[in-house]
Amino acid sequence: MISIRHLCITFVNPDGSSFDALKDVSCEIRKGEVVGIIGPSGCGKSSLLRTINLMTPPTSGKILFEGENITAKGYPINRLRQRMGMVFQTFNLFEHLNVLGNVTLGPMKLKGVSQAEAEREAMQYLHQVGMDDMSTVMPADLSGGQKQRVAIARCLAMHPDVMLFDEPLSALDPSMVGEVQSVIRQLAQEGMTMLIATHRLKFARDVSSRVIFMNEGRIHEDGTPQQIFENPTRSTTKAFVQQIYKLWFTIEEDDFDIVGMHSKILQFCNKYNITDVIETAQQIINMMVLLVLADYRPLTVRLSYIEQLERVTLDFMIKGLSTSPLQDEGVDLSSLAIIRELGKKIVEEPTKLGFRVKVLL
Amino acid sequence: MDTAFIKWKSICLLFAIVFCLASCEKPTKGNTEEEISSIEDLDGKVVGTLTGSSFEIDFAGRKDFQVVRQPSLSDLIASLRKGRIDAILYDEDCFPDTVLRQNGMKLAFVTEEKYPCAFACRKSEQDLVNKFNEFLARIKSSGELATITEKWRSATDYTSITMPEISDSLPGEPLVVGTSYSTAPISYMIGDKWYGFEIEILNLFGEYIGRPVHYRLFDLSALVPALKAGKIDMAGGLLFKTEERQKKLAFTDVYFYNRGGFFVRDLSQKTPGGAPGISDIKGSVEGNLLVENRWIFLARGLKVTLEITLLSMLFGGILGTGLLSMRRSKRRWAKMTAMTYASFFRGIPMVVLLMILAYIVMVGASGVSVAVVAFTLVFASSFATTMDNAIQAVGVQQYEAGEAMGFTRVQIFRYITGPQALQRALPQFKGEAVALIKNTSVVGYVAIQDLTRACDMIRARTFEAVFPILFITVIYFFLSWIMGKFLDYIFKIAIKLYI
Repeated sequence: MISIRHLCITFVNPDGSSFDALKDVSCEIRKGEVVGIIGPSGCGKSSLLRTINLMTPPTSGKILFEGENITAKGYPINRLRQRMGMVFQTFNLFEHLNVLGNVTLGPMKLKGVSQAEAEREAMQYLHQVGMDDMSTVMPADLSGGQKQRVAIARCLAMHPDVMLFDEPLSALDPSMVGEVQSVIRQLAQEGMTMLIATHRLKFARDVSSRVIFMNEGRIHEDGTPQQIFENPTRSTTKAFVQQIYKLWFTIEEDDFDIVGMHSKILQFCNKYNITDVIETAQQIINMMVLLVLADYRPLTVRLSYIEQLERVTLDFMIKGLSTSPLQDEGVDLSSLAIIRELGKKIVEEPTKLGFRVKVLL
Repeated sequence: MDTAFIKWKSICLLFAIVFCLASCEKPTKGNTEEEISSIEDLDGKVVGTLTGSSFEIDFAGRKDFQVVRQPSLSDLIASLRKGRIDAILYDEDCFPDTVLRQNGMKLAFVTEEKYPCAFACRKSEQDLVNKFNEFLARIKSSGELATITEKWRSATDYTSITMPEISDSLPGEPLVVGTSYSTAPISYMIGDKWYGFEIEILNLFGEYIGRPVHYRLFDLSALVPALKAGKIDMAGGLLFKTEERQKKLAFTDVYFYNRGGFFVRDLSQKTPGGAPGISDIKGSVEGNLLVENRWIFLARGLKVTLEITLLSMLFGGILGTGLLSMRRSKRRWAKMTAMTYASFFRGIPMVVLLMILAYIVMVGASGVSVAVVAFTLVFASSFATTMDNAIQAVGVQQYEAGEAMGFTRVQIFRYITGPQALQRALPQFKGEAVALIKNTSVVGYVAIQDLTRACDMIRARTFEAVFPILFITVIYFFLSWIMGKFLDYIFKIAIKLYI
């Protein structure tokens, strides 16, 4: 359906320096595929998507859409774009129109559909994304998740052949990710051809039929989600998909700056979008450091997050210890009970240097 | 409903306060003031004179009293009455007794020196000067000049004085004379017709050379530029024939010798104090509006003000739309041109622009068209800037959404960014339209009789400082208010049609 051949994009900065966003990218997108595009920030995910509907014109290379060379000079770009829906990270709803107006504007003004017909159809799509009861609300009064669902309905109303999702979940509050994810998932099941650029690995893995891993403007690996996430062939892919984000603290003395530590935890969780565990993590750390393991110094605390598995763990490590500190006689049992309640699981294991208590959140 | 009522009430209250404060106009200095009867008495005092008058130059260097300048005679009188100045230095014969009495003024003494008055022409028009001198010599020898001079000097009732009729159907090109006087007995208007000492002489001269004479009113300081630019053929209004002026202009022979008079507050005459009664306001209305149908000045002035405002808005809107599309264009030169245009017209004072257009660029054009061009240029610039900012405020995101859906640039403006820009621009746009109305009040500078100039003319006749000003304040206020409502309505319709 879409053939991308030797595509290059070079941005020239005003100061004369240049940056290659895409370097010789080639791939085939077939009808009905749901392609997840993953990779670190600045790898060219968004550039690739924006080049497909020519929002960013390529510097060199070709794109064929159903056999037609859309990068040829004089190709009717606007006709092409009507067949490709795009969903943006920042929703980009038309602020002066209500929900229904946003969905009907395209069909009425671009396809000449009558208002009654456009509205009837728009209500169907709004129903599909669960927004039919808010058709008269203005965009300013919607939540992020609701806005994104309206944006998706707006695309669907144009009957696109392909939908391009440019980081559709990144600007959303964690509590609203679910509603948008399920709408996209439902579309995938209905057989819509989609390209989704996302940094949410778990989402990419669940929703895609094919995953492309990009790095530094190139496609590094292209395969099924199982291949990419479980048996990546290239080391860069492996490092990215199994990436673990870590935060370390070593507590030497009792006058340790515990407030400073909590603010660092807060920053870390905000950065990786795991705000839902902040409170639990802070509570467990407080009880562990100040009560349960109060006698063990120096104590090393590690907060780690594996994105792909969406797993957050807390490790408490004590050097030169061979038995579990939780098995001590004087241990604070009531606190330990609360910790067991808060965490999903507690693992006690000896390591090369000492002993580790692992709490899964 | 409620808020509208409160708004109205507060507006009415505001005007009432302004009226009361302003109407309690009376001399602020008491009777302890010393009598001024000679130049020595002026030691340490403040003397007011008209901007650009020759007295100013003669007396500016004096150490014993300070000279201040004001643009109009009515302002000078108001200043004298309020005690801001102690004397007015003005042409000896130019205050009618009734005016002196009304305003509690008297002539204290006159200057030693007699100043020669003559008409001025461009240096290139020596023929005209020669013809006038010929004519002047003739009426001097026949005693006609002396009769005319005596008639106007001794007159007391200027509204019923008669002047020889001259026929308007004289064959020649009209002779356009500019004057800075709209004060009896030199030159003044009743309705459409000009009367006065100079007018009578000039009308006779017109008959002599077979050309009809037209009169135009200028500020004294704008008279010479107008003459040089060819807007007028002759300048009058008791112009002093000084050596310095003769270097630049050709002067006719002297038709009149004038002394400077020092006018002071008449202390023997007590002006009644206290709050003004209804009869005072009634008198003001009658004197300023009804006598000699003076309201016609205001009505015509209002028409001119509206004409300039509305035409400038219309043409400015059209030109501004062009500028806007240049600013939004991807071509560098178009963008740069539009930006340069905006910064140029932002940086130039309205009065200066008007004078440049009137005296340099559009010399032959009528006053109103000069003003319309000037305000169109400025309004277009602010219109384009306002709209451009409003479109930018809509943001690039919605633009991209439209682009990705397959809308063209024009369609995006038409359906997405345009309507929102209009909504955002409305408050600022209203402000600019109101500013436009108010700014038109400076067009008097280039001899256009707009509302403000009409008010000046009435003040020059009645010497009443306050009432005409308050009256046009109210008119301007309502104009602005109606303009605001009108734009609200237009925008509402525009946005409705648009979406």
